[in-house]
Amino acid sequence: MRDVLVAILVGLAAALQVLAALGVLVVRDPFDRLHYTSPPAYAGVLVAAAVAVELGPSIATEKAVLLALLLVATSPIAVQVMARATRAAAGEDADDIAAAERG
Amino acid sequence: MNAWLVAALVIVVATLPLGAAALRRPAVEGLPALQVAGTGAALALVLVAMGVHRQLFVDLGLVAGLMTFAGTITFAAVLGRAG
Repeated sequence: MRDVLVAILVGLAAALQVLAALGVLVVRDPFDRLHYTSPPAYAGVLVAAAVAVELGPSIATEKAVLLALLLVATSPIAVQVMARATRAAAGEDADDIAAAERG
Repeated sequence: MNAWLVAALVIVVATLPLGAAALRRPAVEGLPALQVAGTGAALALVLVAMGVHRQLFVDLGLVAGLMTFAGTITFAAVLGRAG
């Protein structure tokens, strides 16, 4: 039973990563492409859950959970920074970028 | 080959075209590919560590995840300034 659950969790994680890679490769608009950088962070949550199911409370589980938290916490920041860099590379000045971020 | 290693292999295979995309596209448009590939590498390292029953190597995935974020921030800052 435990092996089946682990296989499902890591299979879903791999599927999320494949979907994210496809999205980044196929989508044309640079800003739409940024949406596909987030799913791998949630694949990290699935991997941490699989490690927890396999090992129970252990140092490796704590590290996998720490990695998942790191990915989930930093993913939105990375998207924001990449969007800003894309706008700057397109020639927008800092005031325009700040105005766009305020909405 | 167990489920951990199969998942790691799938993630590594999915990551390879991202490297090609990051090389072919303009530098700033390659950043999302770099981010997804880096996260995939971190996850693959954790999966391999579990697959070969060397839980100590989960540390490598943790460090890779941290370095991916640092790398993305640094490249974005440099490329945004260059643009």
